[in-house]
Amino acid sequence: MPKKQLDTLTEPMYYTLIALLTPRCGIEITEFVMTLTKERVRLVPGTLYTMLSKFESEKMIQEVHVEGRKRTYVITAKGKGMLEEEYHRLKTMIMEGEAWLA
Amino acid sequence: MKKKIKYMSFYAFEYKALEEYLRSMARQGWKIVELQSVFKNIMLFEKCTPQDIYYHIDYSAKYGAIEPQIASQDQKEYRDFLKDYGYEIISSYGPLEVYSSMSEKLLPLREENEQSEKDMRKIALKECLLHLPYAMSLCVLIILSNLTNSIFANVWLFINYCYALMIMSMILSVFPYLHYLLHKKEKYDLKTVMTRIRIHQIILFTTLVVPMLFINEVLGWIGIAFEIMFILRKLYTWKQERKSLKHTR
Repeated sequence: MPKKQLDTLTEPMYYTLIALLTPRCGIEITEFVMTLTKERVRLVPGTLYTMLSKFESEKMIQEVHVEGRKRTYVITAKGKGMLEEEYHRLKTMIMEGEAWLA
Repeated sequence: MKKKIKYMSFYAFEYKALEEYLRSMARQGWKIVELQSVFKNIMLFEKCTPQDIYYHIDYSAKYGAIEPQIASQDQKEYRDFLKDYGYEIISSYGPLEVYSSMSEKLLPLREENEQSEKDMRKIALKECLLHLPYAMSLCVLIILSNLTNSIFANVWLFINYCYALMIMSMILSVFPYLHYLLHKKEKYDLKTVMTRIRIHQIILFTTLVVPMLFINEVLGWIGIAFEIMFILRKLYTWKQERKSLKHTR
């Protein structure tokens, strides 16, 4: 069976959802992720905009505040569930690989 | 305010060359103020003090096809989103959007990956295919007009000739896309794109002038008069360009 697009989160998706545990707007998300990952993950505006629209239509995030042209988003319960699921999946992967690689 | 119009068609996959072209124009003291299109891109420049402006080209997948000069709601929201990142919208036409910034050290608009390549190909294909239905319907019109045995026979000859030219220009517009498909990995620099545009212009110009010489009708002569006016105007703009170039040096 083909995988659904949002079944597993990509790296930028994972970090965007982490950033949205607190309400943030576009540029704030980019800056937060750059600091968190020491500039390893770069969320460029074009990609982030498409991702936020996709998340919003999937009801994984919601708009909480519009100030002029600035839109602030926050994660929803559905988004948080998916983020936690991904977190546990990654943790399991680390544990399973540990015995062989560490 | 002194203005200058340039007729040039850049394809979606030639966006790097377009960015470089606009920047070199700004350095010569011409900044882009508007994009328009009648089959091909028309760029309107305004005289300014020579300066270094960084241009960024983006392609929006969601644009209004019926009124391409008016930004769709999605495009407007996207522009607002980009303002925080330091991008200012200059103009847009259909999917093509021109942004400017005063600093080079900005985050790029999009990551260059397989997905963006795919999107770019889709937009370029759409740009080319848009011309084909026109070409097909013009072909039908030529056949139909030849069947009409009326007093407009000579006028039809001229109209046929105009149609043929338009068909030629539309078919020509597909070739660069085919080249891109065959050499996907290739990046088009400004020099290559400018050569491509010049060849395009020369072919069109030749097809416009040569048959005119064989038309012994009044309309043909009117056409030639237009041609001469066009050449004179072109020479004048080239002279102006050289002057402004000398001035910047």
